[in-house]
Amino acid sequence: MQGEDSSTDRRTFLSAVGGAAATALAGCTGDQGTPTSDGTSSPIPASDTDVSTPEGGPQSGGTLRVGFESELTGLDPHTTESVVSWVVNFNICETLITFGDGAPAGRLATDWEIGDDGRTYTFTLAEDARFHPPVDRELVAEDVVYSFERMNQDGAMGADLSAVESVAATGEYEVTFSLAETFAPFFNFLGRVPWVVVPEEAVEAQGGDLGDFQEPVGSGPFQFEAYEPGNKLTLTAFEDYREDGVPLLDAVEITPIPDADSRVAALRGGDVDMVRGVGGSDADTLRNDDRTKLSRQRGTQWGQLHINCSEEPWDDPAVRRAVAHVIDRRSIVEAAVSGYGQAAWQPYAEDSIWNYDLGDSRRTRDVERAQQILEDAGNPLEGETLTIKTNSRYALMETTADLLVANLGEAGIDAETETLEWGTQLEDFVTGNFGAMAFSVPFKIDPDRHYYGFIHPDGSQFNHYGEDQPDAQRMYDLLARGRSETDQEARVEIYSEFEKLVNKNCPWISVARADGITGLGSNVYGIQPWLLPYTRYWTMWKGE
Amino acid sequence: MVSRLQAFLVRRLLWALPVLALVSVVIFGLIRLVPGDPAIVMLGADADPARLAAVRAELGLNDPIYVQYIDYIGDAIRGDLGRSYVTNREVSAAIAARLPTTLFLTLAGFIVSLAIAIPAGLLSATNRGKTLDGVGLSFGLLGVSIPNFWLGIVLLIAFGVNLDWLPVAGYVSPLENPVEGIRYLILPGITLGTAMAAVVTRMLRSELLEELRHDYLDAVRMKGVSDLRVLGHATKNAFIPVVTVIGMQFGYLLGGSVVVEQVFSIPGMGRLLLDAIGSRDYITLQGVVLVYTTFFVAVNVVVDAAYFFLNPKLRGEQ
Repeated sequence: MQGEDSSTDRRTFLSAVGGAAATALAGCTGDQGTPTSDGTSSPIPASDTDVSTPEGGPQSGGTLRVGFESELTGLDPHTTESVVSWVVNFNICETLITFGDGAPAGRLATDWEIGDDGRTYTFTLAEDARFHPPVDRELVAEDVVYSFERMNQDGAMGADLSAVESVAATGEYEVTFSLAETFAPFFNFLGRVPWVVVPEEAVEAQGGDLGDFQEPVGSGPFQFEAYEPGNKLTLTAFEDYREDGVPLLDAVEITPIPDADSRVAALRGGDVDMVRGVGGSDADTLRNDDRTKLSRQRGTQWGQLHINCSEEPWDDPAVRRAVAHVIDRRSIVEAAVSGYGQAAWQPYAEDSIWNYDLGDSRRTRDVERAQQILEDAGNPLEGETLTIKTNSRYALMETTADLLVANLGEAGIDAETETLEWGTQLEDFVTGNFGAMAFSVPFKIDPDRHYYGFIHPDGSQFNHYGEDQPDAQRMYDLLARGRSETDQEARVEIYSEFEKLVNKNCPWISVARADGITGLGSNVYGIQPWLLPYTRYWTMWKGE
Repeated sequence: MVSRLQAFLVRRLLWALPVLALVSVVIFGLIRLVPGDPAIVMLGADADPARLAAVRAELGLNDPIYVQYIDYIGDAIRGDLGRSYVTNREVSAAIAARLPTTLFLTLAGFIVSLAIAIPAGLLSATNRGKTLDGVGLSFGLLGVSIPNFWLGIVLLIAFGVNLDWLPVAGYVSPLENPVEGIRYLILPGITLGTAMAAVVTRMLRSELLEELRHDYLDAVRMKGVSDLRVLGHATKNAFIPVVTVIGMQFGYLLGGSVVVEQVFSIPGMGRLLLDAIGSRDYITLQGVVLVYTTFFVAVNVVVDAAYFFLNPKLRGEQ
């Protein structure tokens, strides 16, 4: 553990990192309803979340029935890979840190220190955290060590934990991570759901191997009660949870309702109290129904045109720049998500510190300019037909491809869509078997996770942005510095310059940020949209 | 007669074995011909390449396809359909948990379809050319034309949301709670059974009309037998070919249950199948399709046996 004098002051660190989180969180609840002149904002108010509290205040008790958009993909917290499973585990198990009230906040950790060299992270744990029955004991530092060793056995957590050299219990309630090299995103990653702490004896009782822990035992506000795959998962309140009055609900029952129409009907019919994954086209129905209301979280998905920069004709920056000027982002937001989103030139919203103000250099829709760029480059698309890969599973991707093809036609550029099955498109994405594809990724808390894998040669290289591309070396360097630089202001500068180069060279073309919409019964209160798409059921309650 | 039936059944069952073996090869091969790496579907677009490679190795996806098949079929014969690499559950256990649900749903659809088809077919045939016949024929046309998923959503909004009479989503086993169980099965049963009802109505109508033309019925009438009893005789004979159609339709109901389970969020085999397709869960997918196929083959054997009983010509009692 680093001494006081050699460690970064926690408050300083919080204020820097928290700035990012706070601004992003503000984006979740702020009123972004006024359309701007360039159409970057939707006319639908963003603050749809009902934060009102009826007379009498929050009430305890009751069961919240929730409809999920898909079946859970297992429950072992260290192996699950889907958002729906993460939502469940987030309420059962706990991470060291989380993001509350707009800033990184302790969850199991009550305090932390980061060494000056950015390679030592020491966390002090809450002394009153307990595991659920049947384990029913205090959570201590050794549990953190065990959990990180378990989740990362054989390097299962990949690059995210590869920088961690050791995890050691340096006290009963103190744990220290030593990194082989500085890795700035590490701290934010500690809030990821798969990095939760579990008790060894419960894991061993269920088989011990990764994937075996299907009836998770944690220290969170809810405990696992029963699971009938495909039908119902029941969580019950953990009576010995360390915070008084938490949770308010007695139980949460989760039912997968994969059909979107059925999910909305189930909420309107009163079969469930809450549904995830409401489409833009259904959102207005729920807003206008007295029995239901909405909770809206801004920018949970970042939609873009992904480009393979080593594939002709997309290897030509002029082609990419022209297409960036042709695309009608506003129409895509309206058509794909019924206005529940924003036209976007970057993954982070204008009010996030990670957003760089591109000003007039932003490539807005300007067909004449696109034609001029192509003409100046010697008309590289003459005789070419551009193919935009997409799928019919996700409206944002499908609509982006369809409208882009129409937009390109307006500019005199031949183009066609190729609609693939989702699994096929994913494989093409990872293997680079595409020129351009409509794609979207969930909101990432740290910009490194958005950019590094797409561009840097050490990453997954999904864009194949080779050294022959303009500013390639500079972009690689910036991404590497974004990892090694621990000063937050310096990181903001780094990613600002990176975004400027993205806008200049278009290794991808940002299209939209789509909102996450949750439907609620009119008597459901206390939902708090925040930075990540995991509902905290412990803040929620049901009225009359 | 029993020995002839036994020989007949043994012959049909022996034929079923190569059919199932062939089906297992086709399923195994076709699933793997579909592009899309299950490791990528499992881990997502930003998965670490090293982790992708590890998962592929763990799943045996790097082995030659025939090695994967031999491993699979060897285990399947021993009743081990493998372990889902998405949920980490035994596939045979998952199927065993879901199968009764799908069978209850199929049975509900079957009951609904016969409850509609038999009276509708009889009324239509005995009122040929009249309004009732027109209604029956129109129902037949509509029933086969309306897609399941559309009918399901319409019923769900009408009776689940607007009238709030019946539950919209989920499932309660009729064995655990008969009243609730039946309430949960009414709308899915109607949705599933309508198409079959339409087919059986039309079939029963045409067979009965054909039967009513036969001279032997005039002879029966001349003996002073009432019209109702004459209709009874005709209906019994008309049912022989209809039973075959009913049996075949039962198999199709199993297929139709996939869509109905999705619309009404019923945790049956159909949902297991769709989830497995979405996540490229080969092991679960193979197991589910194999069980579906086995049921289809079994239904055909039962139908053949029923036909054997009903048709004197097959029994050699000419």
